[in-house]
Amino acid sequence: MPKVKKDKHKQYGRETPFKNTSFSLKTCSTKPIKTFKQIIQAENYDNYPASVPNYLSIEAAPSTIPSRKYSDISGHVSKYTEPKTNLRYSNALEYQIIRALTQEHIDTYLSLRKAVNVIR
Amino acid sequence: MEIPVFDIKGLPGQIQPDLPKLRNLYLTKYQNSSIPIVIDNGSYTCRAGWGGLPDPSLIFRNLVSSQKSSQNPDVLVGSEIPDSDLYKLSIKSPFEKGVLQHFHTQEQVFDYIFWVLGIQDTQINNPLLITETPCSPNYSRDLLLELVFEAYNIPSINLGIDAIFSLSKNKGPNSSAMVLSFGHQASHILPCINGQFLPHYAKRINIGGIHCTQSLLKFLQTRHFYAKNLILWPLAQEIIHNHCYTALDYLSELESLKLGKQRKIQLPWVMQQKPSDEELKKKQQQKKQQGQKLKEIAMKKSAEKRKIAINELEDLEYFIKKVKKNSSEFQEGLIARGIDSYEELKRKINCLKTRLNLEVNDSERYNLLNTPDNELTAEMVKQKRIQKIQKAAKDARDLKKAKTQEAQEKIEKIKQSDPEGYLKDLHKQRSEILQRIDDRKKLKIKLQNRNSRSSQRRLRVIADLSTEKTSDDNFGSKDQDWNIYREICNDNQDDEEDKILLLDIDTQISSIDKNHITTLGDTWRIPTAEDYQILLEVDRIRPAEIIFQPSIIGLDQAGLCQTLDQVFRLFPYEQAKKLESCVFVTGASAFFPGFIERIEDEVMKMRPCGNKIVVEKAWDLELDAWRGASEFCLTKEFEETSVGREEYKEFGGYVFCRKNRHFASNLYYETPERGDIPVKRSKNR
Repeated sequence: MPKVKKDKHKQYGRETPFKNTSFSLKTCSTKPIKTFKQIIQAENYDNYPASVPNYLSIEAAPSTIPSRKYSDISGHVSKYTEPKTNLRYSNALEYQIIRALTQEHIDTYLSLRKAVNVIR
Repeated sequence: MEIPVFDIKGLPGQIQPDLPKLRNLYLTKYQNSSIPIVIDNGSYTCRAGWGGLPDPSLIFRNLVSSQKSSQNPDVLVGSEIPDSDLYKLSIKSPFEKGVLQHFHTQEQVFDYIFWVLGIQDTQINNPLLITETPCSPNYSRDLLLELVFEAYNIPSINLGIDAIFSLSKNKGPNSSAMVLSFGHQASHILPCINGQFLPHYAKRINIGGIHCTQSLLKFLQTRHFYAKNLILWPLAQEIIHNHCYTALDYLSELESLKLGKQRKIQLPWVMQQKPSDEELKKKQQQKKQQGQKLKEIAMKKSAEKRKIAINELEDLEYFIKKVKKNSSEFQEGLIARGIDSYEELKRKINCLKTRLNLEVNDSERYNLLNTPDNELTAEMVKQKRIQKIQKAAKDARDLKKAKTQEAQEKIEKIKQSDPEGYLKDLHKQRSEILQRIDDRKKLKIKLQNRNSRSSQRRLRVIADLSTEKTSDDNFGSKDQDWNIYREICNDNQDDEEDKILLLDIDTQISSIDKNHITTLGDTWRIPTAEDYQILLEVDRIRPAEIIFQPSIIGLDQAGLCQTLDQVFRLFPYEQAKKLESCVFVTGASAFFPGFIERIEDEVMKMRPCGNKIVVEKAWDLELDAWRGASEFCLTKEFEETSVGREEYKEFGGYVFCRKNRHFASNLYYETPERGDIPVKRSKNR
C-alpha cells in the first residue's frame, strides 16, 4: 500500500506553515514536563533575598483569628461536634441524621473541609 | 409558604469564531504591519485578538481535548470541543493553580489562535503581548519564551499582568488604586500607586472561581448522595450564575434564609409509566405458561419414578408371597436384590408403600412395641427402641398438626365474629415487637459505653460465672443455664426473629386494613417531580463566602478582608488614604450580586472612621483586561520594553531581568543557584 505523505506543515490537524516544524516541544525539547510542585521546588525560593517578592512570598499567611464553625449537614452556624465522627451539627434533627449515616457518607462530609483522617 | 421551583435551562454555549471574516481581516489589515497580537491568557478563558481593536476576536475556553477517536483524529481546542465533553478527564488545561505548567497544551492553544486569526504565511511578523500572573515562576516564563521564539519565530514579545491593564483601561494610566483581581484559580491584591504596580506589597489568596463551583458541587452531591450522577458540573455552574449571591452579613443572612429566600431546583427526570393493563396481563400469562411448563416436566418425572417404584413393589410382594421363607431360592433372591434379611425386605416394602401413598399397617410397623423385652433377641431389642422413637416422633407431629389447625380455626372465628378486636390485638402485638426492637437498640448503645449500668451488670455476670467455686462443674446440665449466653453475648439473633414476626404481622394487618404503613419492607410508590428537586438554602450564599472565609472548605489561609487589612497597614497613612479612596475590583469571579457592597462594608470596618472609601467595579469584569492590554500595545512604552529575537538569543530566558519594567510588569529576578547564600561552618571541624 503506498504511503500517504503527511503534510509537513499540518500538525495537529491545522495548517501551521508559520511554525518551525523541526521544533516542537513534544519531540525536540529535552526538558520533561514538570508538575506544579516540581516547578516551585526548582525555583529555589528559599534563597531569594527577603526584599524580592516571589510566588511563595506573596501568598497570604494562615489566618490569625479562629475560624467560625458551620454545620456539615445544613451549613448553618454550629455549636456542637459529634465526638465519634467529628462532624459538626447545629440542632437535634441533624444529630439524628448523623447517627444514621454510613461510614462512606461520613468520610465524604469530612473531606469537604479536609478533615478526613486517612490513617485510622 | 411555597418555595419557588426553578428549571434548568443550561448556560449559553461557546461562541464559534467567524473564520472567513478573520482571515479577510488579516489579509487586508494586519498581514504586513507590525500591530501586535494581544493574548490575555486566563486559566478559564483565553481572549485573543489584534491590538487596537475594542474587543477581542477570540474568546474560548482554555482547554484542549486530547482524545483522538477514529472520527476526529485531530486535537480540539477551546470552542471546537462540544459542550458535553467539556468536563471529561481527557480535557487538559495548560494551567495549574494559575501558573503555566503544561506547555504541550499551550503550544496547541497558540497553534489554534494563530490559525483562527488567519495567519497562513511562513512567518509571523507581528509582535505578541501575553498576560501572566503576578510573580509567576521563572520556569514558566522560560518555557514560554522558548516556545514563542523557537517554535513560532515571533519578532518580539512583552509580558504584563492582566489586572493592571484592566485598571489602566478603567481609570487611566496614572491612577492609584488597590486592585482586587478575582481569577479562576487564585485571587490577588495588587496595590498600585501613580499607575505603577508595587509587587512588594502584593498578596495572593489561593481561592478563585473554580473553588466556588467545585465546593458547591461537592456539597450538593454529598447532601443528595443517591443522586450523585444527576448533579454535575454544568448544573453547579448554572446554579452559581443564576441563584447565588453574596451576603452583606453572613450570620444574619443565614437566619433570614430559613424564613424566606429558599429556592428549589428541578432536576430533569423521566416519569416512570405505570404498566398498562394489557402489559400486566401479558406478563401474568407468560408467568402462568412458564409455571405450567415446569409443572408438566415435574409431573412426567414423578410419573416415571412412580412406575419404577410400583414395579419394584409388585416384584417384592410377589417374591414375598410365592417364595418360601427358608428356602435357598429365597436367599438367592434376597442377594440378587441386594437385601440382607427378611426384616429389611419387609421394611423396604413398607417404605415403598408409604412413598406411593398406600396404606401401611401401623401394627406391622410398630410390631415389636407390645412384645416384652425378654422374648426378643438383642437385635430385635435395638429395633424395638428405634420403633419406640419413631412412634413418639410421629405422635408428636400429629399432635402439633392438630394444635396448629385448632389455633387457625380459632383465629378465623375471631376474624369473622370480631374483626376490630382482632385488628386491635394485632396492633398490640406489633407495638410490643417494636418496643422490644427499640429496647435492644438502646441496650446496644448503652453497652458500648464501659461505665454504663448495663455493661457493668454484664461484667458482673461474667465475673460471677468465672469465680464460682464448685467442686463438680455441672453448668450446662439444665436448659436454663444456656440462657446465660443470651445475656452476655453482644450480637443477638433475637432481632432477626422479631423482624420476621413483625413482617408477618404487618402482612396480616395490611390484608385487612389497606391504609396500614409497614415499618420494614418496601414502601415503593410512583416517583413524582418532588423527588427530583434540590433545596437551595445555605448554598445560595456559601460559594461567594469562601473567598472571605477559606476555612469553609478547609483551606488554612486568611480570608480576603484579613489580608487586605494587612496590606493596608504596610503603607504609610497618606498613601493608604490614596489607596482606599479607590478600591478597584476586577476579574470574572466577582460577578456575584452584592459582592461590591460586601467589600465596601468590610473595608469601612477596618479603616479609620470617616475616611473616604470608594469601591468600584470594572466596567466589564471579564474583558477589560484585554482591552487595557490592547490600548497599551500601541504605546511607545510597549516597544521599548519588549524583548526581541536577537536579545533572547543572546541572553536566554532571563532576558526580561535586563529590560526596563513598564507599569504592569512583574518584578523579574534570576533564580539563584543552590548554595548562593554561604552555609555557616563551625570552627571545630
